[in-house]
Amino acid sequence: MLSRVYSSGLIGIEGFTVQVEVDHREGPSLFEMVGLPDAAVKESRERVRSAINSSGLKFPYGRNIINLAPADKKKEGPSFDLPLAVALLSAAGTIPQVSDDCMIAGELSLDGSVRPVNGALPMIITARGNGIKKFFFPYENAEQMRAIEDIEFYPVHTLNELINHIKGEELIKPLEHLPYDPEGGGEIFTSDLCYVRGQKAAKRALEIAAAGAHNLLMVGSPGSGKTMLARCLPSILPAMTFEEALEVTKIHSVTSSVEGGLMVQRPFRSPHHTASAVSMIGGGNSALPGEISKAHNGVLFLDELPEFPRSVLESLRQPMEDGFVNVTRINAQIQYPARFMMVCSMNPCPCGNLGSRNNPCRCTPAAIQRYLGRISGPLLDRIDMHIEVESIDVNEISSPAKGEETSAQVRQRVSKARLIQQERYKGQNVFANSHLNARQIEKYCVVTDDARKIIELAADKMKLSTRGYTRMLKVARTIADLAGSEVIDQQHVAEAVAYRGMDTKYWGRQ
Amino acid sequence: MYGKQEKALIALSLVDGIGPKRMSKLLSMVDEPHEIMQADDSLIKKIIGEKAYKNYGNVVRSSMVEDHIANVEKMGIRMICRFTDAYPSQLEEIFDPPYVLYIKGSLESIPTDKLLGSVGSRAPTRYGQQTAYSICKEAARQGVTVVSGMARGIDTCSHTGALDGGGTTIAVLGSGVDICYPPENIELYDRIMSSGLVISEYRPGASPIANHFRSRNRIIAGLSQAVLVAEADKGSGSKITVDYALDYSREIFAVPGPINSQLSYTPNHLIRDGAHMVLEPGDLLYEMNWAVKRTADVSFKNLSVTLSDEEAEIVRPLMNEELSFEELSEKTGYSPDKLNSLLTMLQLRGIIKQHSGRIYSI
Repeated sequence: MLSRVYSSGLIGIEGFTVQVEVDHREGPSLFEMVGLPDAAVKESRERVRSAINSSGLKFPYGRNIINLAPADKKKEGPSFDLPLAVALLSAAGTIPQVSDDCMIAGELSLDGSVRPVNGALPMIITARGNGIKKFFFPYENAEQMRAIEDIEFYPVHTLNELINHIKGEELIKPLEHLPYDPEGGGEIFTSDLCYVRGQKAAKRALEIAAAGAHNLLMVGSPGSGKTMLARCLPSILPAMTFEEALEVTKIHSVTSSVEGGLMVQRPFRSPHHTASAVSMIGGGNSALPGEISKAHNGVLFLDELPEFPRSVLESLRQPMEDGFVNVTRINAQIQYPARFMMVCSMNPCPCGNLGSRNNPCRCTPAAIQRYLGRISGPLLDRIDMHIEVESIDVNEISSPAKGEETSAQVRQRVSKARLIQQERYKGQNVFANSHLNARQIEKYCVVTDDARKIIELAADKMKLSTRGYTRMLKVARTIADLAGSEVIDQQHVAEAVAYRGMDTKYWGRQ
Repeated sequence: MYGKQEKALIALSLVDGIGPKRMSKLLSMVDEPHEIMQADDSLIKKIIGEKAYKNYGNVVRSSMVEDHIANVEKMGIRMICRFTDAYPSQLEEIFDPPYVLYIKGSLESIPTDKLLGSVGSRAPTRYGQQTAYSICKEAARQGVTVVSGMARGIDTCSHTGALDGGGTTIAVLGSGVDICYPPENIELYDRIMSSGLVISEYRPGASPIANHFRSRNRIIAGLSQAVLVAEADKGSGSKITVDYALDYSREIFAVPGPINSQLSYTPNHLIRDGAHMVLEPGDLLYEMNWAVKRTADVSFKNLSVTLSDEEAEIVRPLMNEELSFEELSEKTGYSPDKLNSLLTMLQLRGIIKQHSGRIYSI
C-alpha cells in the first residue's frame, strides 16, 4: 500500500516541502531509500526500526520503497525520522493515513522519544505560506512557535504519542498562542553602562550608534575600555519588532536549536580575529549562514580590527552596503540577510600609546602607517562614526562611581528615537536611519540653512568623500531624532561632523 | 669643472682608510693638495699604512675619480671641496672640517651668514613641535637660513617651519644626499630640495648608520652662528651638537619648558648654565642682530576672533594647557552632545585643534 506524509527540508533559511512516500508490499525484506538522501537521512532506517519496536509496535517488514520528493533536491539531517516512521506505519496499515494539511518533522531516539530539529521555524513559516495548517514537531521546538499566527502546533514528545493522536485514541493538545512580547526575555544583560566610569563622549557615541544602527569604530589605547563599552551595547539597543525577531530566530535556528521562544535580545556576535572568510560570510558544504548573518538585526563586534585578515575585512564591504549576502556553493545559491551594525575597536598604533599623555608612543611613523594601512579606505568610509576613546587614570577607575547613567535610562532614549524612525519609514523596509538609501536621504534628511553652511565648511576642510558625506547626514538625522527634532539643525550637524574627523587625522587622507 | 686641487681632494676622499687624521697629515707635507700625487710613494705608504696604500694605488692609477665625478654630476649632485672659494668659510673654524661636501638642491652655494641650527628630540611633545616650528618660521621670514638634520621630530618641524615661512633651509644628512632618511620625510626632502639644500660629507649611496649622525652634528654646529634647542631629553644626541657648538663658540638658544618634563631637561639646564632663553622668536633674532628691532607682534598665541559666551568657556582653559574631551566636559559642565558640536564649530573655524587621543589645544 502507498502512503504519503508531508515534511520539510531546508535550503538556507527557507524551508521546502518534502513528501515522504512509502510503498510497502509483501515480499523479501527490502528497505530502499531514494530522492537524494544524505548519510544522516539514510541512517534513519536503524533509528526508525528501533523506535517503532521500542514503542511496542511491529516494524513492517517486507518490500519498503521510500521516496523523498522532490527527487532532485538534496535532503539533509535527521528530521525525516518521524515522518518516515509515520509513513511506514500507515503504508503497512497499522495507522490511518495522515491528512494533507499536516506536516511532520522530528528526529527519533532509539527508545521512541522525539528530539528537536534545526530550522523548525523557517520550515513552518514556509509551509504556512503553502497552505499547511497542522504541524507535528518536537516539543522542544515549541516555544518559538507560540507567537506564530494561523497555525496549529502539536508538540510531540514520543512516537507513541503521535501514533495515538493519528489513531484518534488520545489527542495531543495544540500549543497555546501567545502574542510576541518584546520585553519577554527577562532583560538579563551581563554588562551595564553604569559600570563604565567617565567616557562621556564614548557613551554618547554609543547611544547615537544604537539609536540609528550606525557602524562605529572605536580607537583607543589598550585598557581604555573599548571592549567593555562595546559589550554594553546590547543593553541599550531597542527591543526587536516581531518581524525582526522572527528573521533573527530563523537564521539562528538553522545552525543550532534555539532554546526558549523567539529571540528577544538583539544578537551580539564577536568573532575572534582568526575567523576565516567563510565563517564570517557564510558557506561550507551546505552553505550555512556566517557571523554577519548571525549578527543580522544586531551587532557584529570586531575587536582588534587590524588583526583581521585583509581579505576577511574586504569581504564585509558588499554586505555592509546591501544588507544581505549571496552565498554560492556547488549545491546551493542562497541569500542570507545580513543587516548588522558593525562595531570595531582598535589601537591607534602598534604599541597602543599614540596620543596618550602618560605613556609615550614608541612607534615609528612608518610602523603606524603600516598598522593603520591594514584598514582600507573603502571600509573606513562605510563606518559611519569614528571615535577616540580616552585612556582613563587608574585613580579615576578606583574612585567611587559618581551617578553614572544606567543602561536602562539610555535605552529609553534610544527606543524612543528608534520608534520615531520606524514610524517615519513605515512600509519601506527601513528600520533605522543607517539603512536609508540615497533617494530616501534626500527626502528625510532635510537640513536647515545654518546647518548646510556647516556641512559645506566641513566638507571643504575635511575633504569628505561622497559616501562619507551621506553617512554623516544619516548620523545627523539620528542625532536630531534623539533630540526629538523633525529638522536637522546646526548643532546636530556639528556633532555629526565630530564623528568623521578621524580619518583625516589618523589616516591622513587629505 | 673641477680643478687639480679639487680632483686630488676628491681622490683622497675616495680612498678607504684615509680618515680626517691621515688626510691632515698628508696635506701637511705639501703646499697644495695636488702635489701629494707627485710625492714619494714610500712616504705616503709610511703615513697611511699598507692597507690604505693599496686602496690609494687603486684610486690613483685608475679612472675612478673621473668616473665618480661623472656619476655624481649625472645625479644632479655637486661637490664642494675645501680650500676653494665655494667652501663655507665658517666650517674652517671647526677642528676637522670635511674635505669634500656633497650638495644637492636649488641654492647656488652654501650661505655663510645668518644661519640658525635647530636640534632636538626625535619624539618631542606638541609644545616642542610648536615652538620649534614657529621660531624657525619667524626666523626664515627674517631671512635666516635654518640648518637641521631632517630627522624625525624637532628637525622635521624646524625645516617645515622655515619652508612655511618662505625661507631657505639646509638639511645636513648622515647618509648620502640621494637617500631620504627617515623615508616618511620624502615630501619634506623634495620641498627642501626645491628651495634649499641637502648636504652631506658622505658619498651618494652611503647608508644612514649611527656614527654618521654623530659626526654630521659637528657640521650642523659648524655651519650655524646660533644653535636652538627646543626640546631634548637628558641623554639626547642634541647635547652632542650643543657641545660642538660651544667648542666652536656659537651662540646657544634654548626654549624653557616645564621643569618636570623629561624633554625640557636639556634646554632648561642649558639656560641655567648660561644659554640664551627664547620666550619668543624675536629674542633670538634681536640677540643675533638678525632683526633690526624686537618685533612685538610676533608671539606664539595670537587670538583675535570673536567668541560666543559658550565658546569662550571652552577656549579659556585651553589657553593655558591642552585638555582632553573628558577634562573639558568636567571644566565646562557641558553635556557631551553640546560639547561635541561646540568643539566642531571651533575646529572648523580654525580656532582650536584636535590631536590624537581626543586632546584639544589652541
